[in-house]
Amino acid sequence: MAYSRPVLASLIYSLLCLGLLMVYSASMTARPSSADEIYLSKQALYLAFGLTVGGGASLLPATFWRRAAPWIFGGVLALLIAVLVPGIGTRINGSRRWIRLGSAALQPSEFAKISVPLMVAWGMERGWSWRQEFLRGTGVLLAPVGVATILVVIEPDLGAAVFLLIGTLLSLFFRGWPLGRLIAAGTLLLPIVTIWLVLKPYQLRRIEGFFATWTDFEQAPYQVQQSLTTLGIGGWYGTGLGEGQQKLSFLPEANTDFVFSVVGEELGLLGTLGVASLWLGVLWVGLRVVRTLPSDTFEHTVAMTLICQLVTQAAINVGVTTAMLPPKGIAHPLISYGGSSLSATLLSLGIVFSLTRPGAVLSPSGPPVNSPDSLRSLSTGTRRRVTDVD
Amino acid sequence: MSADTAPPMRWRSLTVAWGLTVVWGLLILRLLQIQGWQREQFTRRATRQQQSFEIVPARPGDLVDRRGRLLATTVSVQSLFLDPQAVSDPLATALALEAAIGIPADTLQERILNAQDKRFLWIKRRLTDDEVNRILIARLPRTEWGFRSEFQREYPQGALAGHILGWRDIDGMPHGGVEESLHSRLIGTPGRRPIVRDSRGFVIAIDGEQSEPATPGENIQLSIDTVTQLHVERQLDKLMEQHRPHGACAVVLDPWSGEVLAMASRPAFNPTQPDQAPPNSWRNLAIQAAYEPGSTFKPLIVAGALDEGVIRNDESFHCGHGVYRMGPRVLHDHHRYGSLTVKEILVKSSNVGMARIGERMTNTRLEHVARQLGFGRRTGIELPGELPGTLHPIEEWTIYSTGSIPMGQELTATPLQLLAAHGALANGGHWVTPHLTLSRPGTGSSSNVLSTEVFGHESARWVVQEAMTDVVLRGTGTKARIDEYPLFGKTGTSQKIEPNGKYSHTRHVSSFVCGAPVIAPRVVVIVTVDEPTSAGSDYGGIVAAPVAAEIVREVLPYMQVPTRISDRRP
Repeated sequence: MAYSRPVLASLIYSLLCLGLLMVYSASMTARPSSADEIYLSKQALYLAFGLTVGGGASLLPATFWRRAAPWIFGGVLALLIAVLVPGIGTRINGSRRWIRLGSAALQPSEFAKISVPLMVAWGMERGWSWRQEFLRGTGVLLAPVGVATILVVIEPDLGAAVFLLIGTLLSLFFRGWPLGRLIAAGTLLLPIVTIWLVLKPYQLRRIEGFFATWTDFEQAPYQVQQSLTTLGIGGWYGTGLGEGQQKLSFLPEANTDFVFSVVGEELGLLGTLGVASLWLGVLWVGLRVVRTLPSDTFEHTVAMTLICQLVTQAAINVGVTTAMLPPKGIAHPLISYGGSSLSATLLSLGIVFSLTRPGAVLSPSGPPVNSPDSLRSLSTGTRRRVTDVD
Repeated sequence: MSADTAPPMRWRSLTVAWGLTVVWGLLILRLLQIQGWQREQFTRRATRQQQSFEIVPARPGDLVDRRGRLLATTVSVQSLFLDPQAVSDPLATALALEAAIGIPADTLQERILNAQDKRFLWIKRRLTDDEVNRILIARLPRTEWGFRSEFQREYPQGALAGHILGWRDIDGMPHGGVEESLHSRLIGTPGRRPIVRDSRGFVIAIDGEQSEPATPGENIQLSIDTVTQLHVERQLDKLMEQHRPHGACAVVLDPWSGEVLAMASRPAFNPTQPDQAPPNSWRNLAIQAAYEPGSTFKPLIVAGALDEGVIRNDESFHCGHGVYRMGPRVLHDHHRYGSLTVKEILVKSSNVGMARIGERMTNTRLEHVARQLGFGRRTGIELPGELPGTLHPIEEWTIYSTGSIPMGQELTATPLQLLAAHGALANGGHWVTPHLTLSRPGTGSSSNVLSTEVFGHESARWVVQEAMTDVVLRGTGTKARIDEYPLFGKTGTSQKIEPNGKYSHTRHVSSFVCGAPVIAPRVVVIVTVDEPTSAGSDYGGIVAAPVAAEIVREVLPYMQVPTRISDRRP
């Protein structure tokens, strides 16, 4: 139990190291030049930045996040608005997702993924709870999240919007949101999705094309064909690090969204199952780390959500590369190339470490709830009940 | 409070964790499926899209003459290409290339700009060494251009034997001659080299283990002799100059083996400059023009008649003083001959005499002799486009045929067919397929060379040594008499057919077939002249005979056949 945090950290470092290797390998081109190494150096730079941000965040006291949650959310909201302003936001491939800062680019939606669970947990802490009438309770609680999601949809970055929704639902679920309302919310989403598909037929075609791949490989979208082929070549042991040939240009987005396929080609099942195991490790070790917290606290909700969000994102990415899910550009956390994604992921993990630091959460009276003492009480089945506004 | 308001419980965390675990479990199964069970399938797919084969061209074989002199060979030359996509400054590149290879810069620039989306553009093929050097000195960016080695066919003897050799275009495709007919042997087997490309077409690996090297084409030795060929062509050129005919051809054949020693046709083309060839020069008249052979056909019928026993060589025929009625038809001779022996019929080339022999033969036997001698079908020489000539089926023969065929009318033949038939007379009775390739050591006979006995030895000997020798000594072929060698021969002057289907009285094909020496002849020669237009006689004996004799006089000493003059010397 006491080793959970270092184990979690080492799992994360393993994924980071693998990521750095794969970014280097996947950025190679058929005619090697110094340009290939730019990706490696940039990623190393992002990593240094991300580790600083994440490490810094982990050192902050847990109460900081509780206090700063609305401010962080407000800041991210401002960035989400700013990115839509021509001149500030940069349009790439038809979407405004990036704010250029010199040679680097900031992707606000990556940070929205962190701020939304913080905001939801914070709101519920404030007592904007489900007990009150709908508008004053649920409405007030979900309005800011809704605004953020809509801004992301406008960019458009549907993948990120889906993530904000997943983050919101996870936070609500972990914080004890009534199951009935969750089901109701789910039912409400159905007609919205339907209307949206009717309005954007190309999205429908994309989904149809995805289903076609299960029966007819030739029908599959190019990147799915290439992703499966790339994985398939790898076999059990892979072609060897740096030896993959699919990445050299057949596989699109080899160092970002489809980096997992390159892992599959070069390291084989050994590599892909290794990555899967690492993520399952992050999930369960993370769960052990978070379990030291009382389950109805801000800290528990945020930490649980952030961990599950990352593991879900990795699963979705693997689902896309293995054609289990429709093709959607989603980075593989900690492994894909990209500064914003890496920094945001490390920041969220830093927050998890900050929130779960032993002794961080003080009970209204008595010793810290997640001190070794309280752990003993947990294991004996004693459960604390924290404030309920009644 | 309902269960809804109950405080959050651990089970919520565990539910999500287990849910995610199940999802990852499914993903792991999927990975096992893709990378484990379906691996083969995807690997094949990847190989298909990455691997392609580059053809490694085979070097075509050489053509050499019967003494090993090079007639056609292949050299490697460099050709220049650009990668238009990689050209950053088309104008600069164009200017640099203008200086190097002399193509105007604006033309080059336009070609580069028009091909901007392509990866390959020929700039100039078959560069000279100087051009290659100047391109290297120009120091263009290495990613923009490249040389590709190409094979180029060279004909060291120039225009010599152009009709026999044919030529190859810039892509190595053969046109005419043995280049075309022996293409499959000459061309070799191209090798292939598997190369791995990325999706942008860059070659990223060459799989040496799987590559199949090219097998170079076979070197083929031809039966022709360059020196003999040169003599023949010079004689033809002289003839063309002197008589200005539409065309002329000459063939020198070894009557025993059927090997063609020389074959030439005029007008000619130069295989090294095919684009400058006049349009009528492609035709090899020796095999691609069929005439009525006329009188040159007569000795063949006489030999056949002797063989069949329908005439004896000491027999005489009355030639009706130049007029002879055959059914509804009246035949004429140039002179009013009375009674002529068989030998005199040939020496004087009497049409009436031949018609009377024809009557003895009857159509059936005439047709048999002509067929056996290969008329009406291709000889089978290794050249494309050979004409079969015409020899009508026996059912179409009439009373006219009985008179026409013995004097070489009502059938057409190429000069080569006629020469091959005379070869059978010269060698004592065997028709041998005329051919151009020498047999390969160890493989026996090279091509399908047939040898068929068509005449009895004695009949052939008599026709050659008695009748045809006298034709040259005192008959229509006296212009072919030379001091050095005894010749036998036969003249022919056939009337061309006018567009209205009647025989022309002004347009002739003059020909002369001869052989030497009379005993054990080493060569038989035919010279055919199509419509001599210069002033003077166009009789075969006048136009063609001296040329054929001249060829014999030049060729036999080269073949080290002793001359009569040297014999007489003590």
